[in-house]
Amino acid sequence: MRSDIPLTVRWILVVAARLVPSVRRPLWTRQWVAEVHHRCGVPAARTGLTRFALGALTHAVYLRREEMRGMGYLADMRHAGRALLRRPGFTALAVVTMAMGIGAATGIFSLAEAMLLRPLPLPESDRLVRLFSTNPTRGPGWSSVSYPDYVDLATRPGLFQGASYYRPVDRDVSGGREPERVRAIEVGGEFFQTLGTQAHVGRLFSASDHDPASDATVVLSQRFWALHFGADSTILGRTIRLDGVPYTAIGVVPAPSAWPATADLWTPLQWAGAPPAWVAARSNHSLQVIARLLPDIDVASATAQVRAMSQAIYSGSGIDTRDEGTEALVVPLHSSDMGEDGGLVFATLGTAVALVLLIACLNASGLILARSWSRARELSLRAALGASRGRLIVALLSESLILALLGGALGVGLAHVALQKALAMAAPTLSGLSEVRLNATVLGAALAVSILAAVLTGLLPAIRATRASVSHSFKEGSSQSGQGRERTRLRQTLIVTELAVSLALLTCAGLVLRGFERQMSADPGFEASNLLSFTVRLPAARYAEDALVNAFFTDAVSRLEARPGIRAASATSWLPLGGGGTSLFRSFVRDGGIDTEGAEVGALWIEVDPEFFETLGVQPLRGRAFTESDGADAPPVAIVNERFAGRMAPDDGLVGTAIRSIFDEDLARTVVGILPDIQFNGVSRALSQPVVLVPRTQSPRSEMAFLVRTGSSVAEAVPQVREVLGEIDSDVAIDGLQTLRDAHAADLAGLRFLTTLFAAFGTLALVLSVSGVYGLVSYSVSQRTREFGVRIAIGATTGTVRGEVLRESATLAGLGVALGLVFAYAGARVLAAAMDGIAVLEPSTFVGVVALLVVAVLAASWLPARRATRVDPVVAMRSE
Amino acid sequence: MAKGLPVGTVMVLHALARGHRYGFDLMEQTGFTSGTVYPALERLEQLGHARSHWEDAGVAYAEKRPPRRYFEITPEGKTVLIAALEKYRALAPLDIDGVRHPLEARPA
Repeated sequence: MRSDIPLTVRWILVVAARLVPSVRRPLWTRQWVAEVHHRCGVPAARTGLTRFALGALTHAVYLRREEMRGMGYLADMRHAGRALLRRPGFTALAVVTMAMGIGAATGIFSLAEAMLLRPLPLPESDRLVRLFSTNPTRGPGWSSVSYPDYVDLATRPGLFQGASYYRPVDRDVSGGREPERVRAIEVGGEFFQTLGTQAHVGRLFSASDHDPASDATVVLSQRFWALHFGADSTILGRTIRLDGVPYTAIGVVPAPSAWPATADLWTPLQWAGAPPAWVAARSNHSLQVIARLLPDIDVASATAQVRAMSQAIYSGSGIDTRDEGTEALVVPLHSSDMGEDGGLVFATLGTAVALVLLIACLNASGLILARSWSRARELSLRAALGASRGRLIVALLSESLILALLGGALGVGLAHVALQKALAMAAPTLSGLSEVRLNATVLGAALAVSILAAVLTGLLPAIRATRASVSHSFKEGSSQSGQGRERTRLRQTLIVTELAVSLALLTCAGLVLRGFERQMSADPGFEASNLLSFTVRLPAARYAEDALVNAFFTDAVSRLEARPGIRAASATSWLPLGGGGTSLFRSFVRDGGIDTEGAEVGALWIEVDPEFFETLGVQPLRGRAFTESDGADAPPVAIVNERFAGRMAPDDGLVGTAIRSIFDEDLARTVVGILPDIQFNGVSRALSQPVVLVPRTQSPRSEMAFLVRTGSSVAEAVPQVREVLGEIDSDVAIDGLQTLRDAHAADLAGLRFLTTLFAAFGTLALVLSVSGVYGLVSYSVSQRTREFGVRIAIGATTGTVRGEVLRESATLAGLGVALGLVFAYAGARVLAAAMDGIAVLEPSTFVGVVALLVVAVLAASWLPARRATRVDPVVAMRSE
Repeated sequence: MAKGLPVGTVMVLHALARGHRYGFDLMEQTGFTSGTVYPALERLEQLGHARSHWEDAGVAYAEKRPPRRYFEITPEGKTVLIAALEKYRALAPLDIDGVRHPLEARPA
C-alpha cells in the first residue's frame, strides 16, 4: 500500500525521520505514513501532497528541538559559559585571538559588500547591467562601446527591456566667483527611464529634450544642487552656463540613486536619432552603455548571447582584429565601477583574510586543546553514563561557540573602528569606499564566519577529547603520560601549520610592500620636486578654431614663464608620473613599412610644447628637442623615447626616418630626437613604456595639462598661476592645481590602501602565530615541571634546560619555515601574475621574513624557557 | 493557563473541540499547513490540553490502510479553550475605514 506514495514524498519522510529523536521515531513514522496514505486516498488532496509532506519536516524539527531542550543542550551552554568565566585569562586570550580573525574577515567582507555586492537603490537594480567591448587578443581590458555596436547589441529585441548610452565629459561651470570644472554626463534617450530614476525635484529628460531644435536642458545631482544652489527649488527654469553655453535647469536627481555616482550634472545628447559621423564608425568605441535585462534573462546568458552576436558582427565586418573591441560583455551595473580588476583584488584579499582566520582558529584550537584534558574525566563519566559521542562533541563545541560569538562581536567592533580610520585616510581618493558600513548583510556574514570559526576551532579538540576510551581516561586523568604527550604533538602540528601560513602571508605582504616602495621611490628620470601641475579645458563654443586654441596655450606658457617665481612652463596633454591629463594610446609603424601584425609599436601619445624639455630638465639623447619652428604649418615631427626606438629600430637608426600612427592620425611624422626613458605612467604599469611626443601646435587639443617648474617656493607660484590664467580668460577653470608629487601620491592611493591592508594581515598573522608558540611552549614547560625539577636536582645546568626548551621551539620554527617557504613561493607566483611590479623571488624579502619569524618564535619561547630553569626541585616533586 | 496560547494553537484546539480528530482533517478545518498543525498538536499534548491514541489496528487492517493517530481535547483543554475564546471576545466588531465586520454588516 505504500507504493501509492510518490517518491519525493517518501524521500521527505525518510529525511525528516532521521531528525526525529530515535525514541519517538517508530511512532512518528507510523503517524505520518497514515496521514500521507489517507491523503493519497483523496484524489482532490493529491495535488498538494509534497507541500503537505514538508510539514513532516517541521514536525520533526519541532520534536528534535523539544528533545534538545529536555536533554540540556542549553544547560551545556550555561555550563560552558560558567567554565569560561572561571578562567578569565584563557577566555580573554581565546576571544581576542578569534576577534582578530573574524574582525579581519568581516572588514574585508564589508569592503567587498560596499564595492561589489550591494545593490544600487534603483528599482529592480539586479537587472541593470553595463555593456563593454573586449578584445581577447589584446588582454582582459574592458573598452567602451561603439554606436553601431550599441544599436546591434543593446537595442535588439529579446534581451533587454531598455537601454541607453552616455559619455562622461568635464565641463566648466561659470558665473560664480571662479569658474569650476564639473563632471557632466551626456546621455542618450531613455537614460533615466532605463535606470528607473525618479526626479527629486522637477523632471528628468523626455524625448523633446533630445531634439536638436529644443533648448539645451540640464539635470543636477542633489550634491551639486546643495553645494552650489543651497538646495533652492527656484533653480528650476534658471540658466546655468556650461562652457559658456546656457542650459536650463529642469530637475534634480536624488543623491542615493544618482548614477554614475560621481556625476555633478547630466545633459541630453541632441542627436535626433542619427549620431554625428564621428560616432557612427564601428571602430570608434566612445560610448558607455547601460541596459535593463528582461525579467527572465540573467547576466550569464545575456553575456553569452551578446558575445555570440558581436562575434558574428565582427567576423564579417572586415574590421582589424587589433581594434579595441571584437567581442562584448555584460557586467552587473553595481560592480561595473571596479572594472576588470575588482574581482581579482578581492579574491586576493579574501584569500589573505581567510588565512588569517585559519591561523586564528588553529590558535584558539590549540588553546582549547591544552585545556580540554582537564575535562577528560567529566567527559569519560558522561560517556560511561550513556551519552553518545556526537552528544559530547556538541557539548564541547558549545564552548568554542561561545568563544567565537564573543570574538565575533569584538571583531566586528574592531573591524568597524579600523575601517573607519583607514577610510578616513583613503576615502577622498577612492570613490565608493565611503559607503562602507555595517549593515544586515555584513553582520549576517560576520555571524556565519563566527559559527564557521567555532566549528573550525572546536571540532578537532572535541573529536580528540571524545575519542579516548572510558577506562583509558580514568586511568590517565591523574598522570601526565601518553595522552598528554599525544595532545602536545597535535598542538605542535597546529603551530607548525600556523607558522607556515604566517610565513607565506608575511612574505606576500612583504613582496607587495616592496613592489609599492619600488613604484614610490623609483627614479622618474627627472627632478620631480618644485613642479606644479594643473589642467585646463577650453570651452568649445569660444575656441572652435585650432588657431584660437593654439594662441591660448602659447600665450599662457609665455606669460607664465615671464613671472618671477616661475622658471619654465609647458602645456602637455599628459603629465609624467601618471599625474593626469589625456592618455592616448596609439599604434605606430615605420612610414612606408608593411602594416603586418608584429611590426607595429603601441605607444603613449603626448602633445607638448618646446619648453617641455627645459621644464622637466631632460634633453634628447640623440637628435634635437622641439623648437618654435616646429609650428602648425611646419613638417610634422615627433620625438620618441628610448624604449620606443628600441622596439621600432633596434639598430639605433630611427632619427630622420618617419613613423605613422596607423589607426588614428595616419600622418607621416619624422622622428627628430630620442628622449631618455622617463616615468610617464603611475600605478601598475610597466615603468617605462614606449612614448611618442609631438608638438602641441601640430595636434591642437582644447584640453591640456600644464607643467610649471617653480623657483624655490612652490606655494608662491600658485597665486601667479591663477592670475595668469585669469588674465587670459576668466571663464576657464583651473583644475587639480597641485604639485606633481601630490598628484602622483593621489594616483597611488588605491595601491597604498591595498598594501596597508596586506601589511596589516601579515602582522596580524605573525602576532597570532607567535602568541600560539608562546602558549604551546608555556604549556609544555608546565607539563614537564617534574622532569625539569628532577634533572635540576641531579645537576643539570640552567643552560642545558633552557637550551632544551629553546631547541623545541627552534624545531617547530624550522619545520614551519620549511613548509611556509613552499606556500610563500606558490603565493608569490599568484601575486606576480596578478599585479605588476612584483618579483617572485626576491631574496631579501624571503630572508627578512624568515629571520623575523625565527627571532619572534625564539623570543616568545624565552620566557617559558627561563621559567623552566627556575623550577624548584622540591616544589616540583611535591606537585603531583 | 499561565501564558496565552498562540492563536493558531487555539484554532487547532477549537477544531479538536468540534470533533475533528486527525492531522489532515484538522488542516482542512483550520486552513493551516501541515507544518503548523502537527507541532501545535504536539504542544497541546505536552501541555495536557489534548491527548492522542492509536486507532485499533484491526479496524485499519480491515480498511486496508495504516492505523491513524487520533487526537481529542481533554477537560483541561476545554477550560483553556473557553478562557481563550473569552479573551478573543474582547475583540469587539470594529468599523475600519467604513468597512464593517462581515457579521455586523449583514442586515439584522
